[in-house]
Amino acid sequence: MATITKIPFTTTSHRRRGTAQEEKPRILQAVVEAVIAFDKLQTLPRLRLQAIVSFLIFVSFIAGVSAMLLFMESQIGLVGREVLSLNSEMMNIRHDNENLMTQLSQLNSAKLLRQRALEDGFELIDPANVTYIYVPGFTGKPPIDLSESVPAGSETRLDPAYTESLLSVFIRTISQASAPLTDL
Amino acid sequence: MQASFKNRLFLFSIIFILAFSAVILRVLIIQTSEKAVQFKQMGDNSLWQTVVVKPERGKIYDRNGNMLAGNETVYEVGLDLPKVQDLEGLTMVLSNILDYQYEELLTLIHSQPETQVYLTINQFVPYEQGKQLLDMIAASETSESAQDISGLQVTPRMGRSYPNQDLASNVLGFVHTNQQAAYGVELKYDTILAGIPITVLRPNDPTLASGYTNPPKGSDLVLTIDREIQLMVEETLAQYTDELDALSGTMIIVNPRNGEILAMASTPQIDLNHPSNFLEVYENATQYNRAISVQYEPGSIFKILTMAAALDSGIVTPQTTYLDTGYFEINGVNIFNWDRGAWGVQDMTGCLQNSLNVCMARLSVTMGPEIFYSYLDQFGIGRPTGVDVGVEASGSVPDPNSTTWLPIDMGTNSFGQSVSVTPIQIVTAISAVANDGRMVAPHVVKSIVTNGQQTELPVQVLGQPIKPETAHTLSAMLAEAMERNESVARVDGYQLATKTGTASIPRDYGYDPNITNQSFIGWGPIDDPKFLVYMWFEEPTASEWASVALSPVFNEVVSKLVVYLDIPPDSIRLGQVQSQN
Repeated sequence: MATITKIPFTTTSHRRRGTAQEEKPRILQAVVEAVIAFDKLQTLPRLRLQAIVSFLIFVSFIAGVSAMLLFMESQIGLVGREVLSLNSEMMNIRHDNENLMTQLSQLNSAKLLRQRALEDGFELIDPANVTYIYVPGFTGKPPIDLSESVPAGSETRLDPAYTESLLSVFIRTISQASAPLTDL
Repeated sequence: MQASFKNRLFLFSIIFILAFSAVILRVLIIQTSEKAVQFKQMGDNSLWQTVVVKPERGKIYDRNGNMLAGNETVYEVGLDLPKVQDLEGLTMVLSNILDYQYEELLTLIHSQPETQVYLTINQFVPYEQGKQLLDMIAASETSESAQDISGLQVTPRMGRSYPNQDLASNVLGFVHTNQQAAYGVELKYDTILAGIPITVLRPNDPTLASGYTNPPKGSDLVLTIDREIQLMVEETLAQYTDELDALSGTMIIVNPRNGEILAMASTPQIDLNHPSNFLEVYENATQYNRAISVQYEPGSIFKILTMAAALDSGIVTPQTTYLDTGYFEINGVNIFNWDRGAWGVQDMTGCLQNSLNVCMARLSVTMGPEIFYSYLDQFGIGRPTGVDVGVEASGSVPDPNSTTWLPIDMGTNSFGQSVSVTPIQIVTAISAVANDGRMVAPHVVKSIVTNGQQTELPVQVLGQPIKPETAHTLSAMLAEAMERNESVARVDGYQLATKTGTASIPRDYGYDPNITNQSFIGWGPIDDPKFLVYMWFEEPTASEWASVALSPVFNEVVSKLVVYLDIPPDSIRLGQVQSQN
């Protein structure tokens, strides 16, 4: 344990501006106080210091995890809103498609098409005037096929964001936050 | 001073702990209280909503992929009554756009009880009008100078639409504004078309939204109907029903090989987009599609079946002759020819050519009731065919084992009197003669498209009532009879088999001497039938005989049909076949 040397000082030192000779003891006093504080710090038990540091690390970890959970929660909320919005958009598009298909069929209805053809100068053919030509291999119109063919590679794929680990999210978030603005 | 600080800190900690404990305690009390379940329910209710999601109704196409029935957006227009600010202005807007009487609409709104929150004005407002109202709502939200229409609610939904209006209306049926299917394919395939509604929980909290489950849409149907042929048939029917001054007209065109109905129509038709006109057009449900729902005595076209039975059972050949004296007695009752004349020596082709009742009665008596009615049963007379177009009548044929049956019945039945059939029934039976003796089920649905996969429906064979040789022989006899008659029904270049039928109409007092039902049936080309055309005009007054009135109609229809179906004249077609061989 270090010895403490008491240095007397006047109580009026802070009330009036002292001379250069008077300033010297005050500086000395501050240095001595700092030394004392450092000495006290030095005197703290190592275990106590470790506890404080551990506590700080724990708090930082909790804060980090909480921040990440909040971040995730906000992302889920945003995605949820996007799902709602996309679903609504999908319904609207579906309705629009149905409307357009029906309108197209109305414009192509048998009566309208024939009326337009007659207006454009076409005539209904007299069966006696039909000329038949034999085309080898032609077996008539094929039956209509309304099956939906799914193009290769158009299968539904899950976004990687839904399968990555918590650590991956953390790293990605940190790297995004620390990226230069030009990269964002 | 240090002690004072410690005291204050201690006091603050105590207060904080007590307050926090109080909150925890209160939470525990609430959680374990009697109302906890109710609170949880309230919470869940605000978090989730139960929604019944109805799938889109499947579409209906003709055999070439032309849409016959689809969907379009319609709107439900209603008022959120407590939110209405300017009732008069809003009523004026609605009466202008939805074509209501202002006073009537205002009275309707005023007549609602004070407790009522929502009033439906119209559940099925057409797309354009609904869009107009939606635009006004959007304008009122962005501009203060716009008309105040607060309280107006416009909700989209899908409604049925028929792009071809009345085309094939007898076959399609329709869907009411309340989504209830009626008649035709719409009713017969309602469960397939409508799909299965599902009840789902939808989250109000976006963090719980994990993707929506929508029910698969209803299946689409591809019909055997050809839109162009259907239009031709309907126009011809409308024209000749009018010209012949008939009560109604019915026409069916079928492919006898596989039972596919290419066209089916009966007058009158309705615009399917306005099914509310139904009661103005039809007196009863059977009139909606007479081709399947109305049974009548067919007359002489039935002779085809009698002759088929006679030939197939071996009691006659085409060359068999008999002396026609103009009448034939059965148990003391005489049967006469249509002209009450005696036709002398006739072979079986002459019997068909001159449509002799006496000949047919002789054949049926020679066969005997067991054989004769057995053949009628095999031809499906008196039974529904199972056609997939709605509710079908079964027809009726006398039962020889019944106590009410008389031998004379067999005589009259042989030429199509005292026996009732539906048009589709006689078409199905006679198709067997055209199709090598094999009878197939008539149908209008060709394939079903579910989840993007198209499934073809197989041809259903109903039976083989006669041998192929009998069918070929009979077709040739009918074709020869047509040639011998130099019928107007003939179409140059094509060998066809036809038979006319003029039938007396039974009334309460007996057969009506003044009016007839007239039918015509024919198919071709007889070596490889591609079509069978049947028509029936109910009580036409323009002519007494089907051979006179309907032969030109048949000629007109077949002349157009061979073009639509790409059937070259026999000489070219058979030449092709020979050159291919």
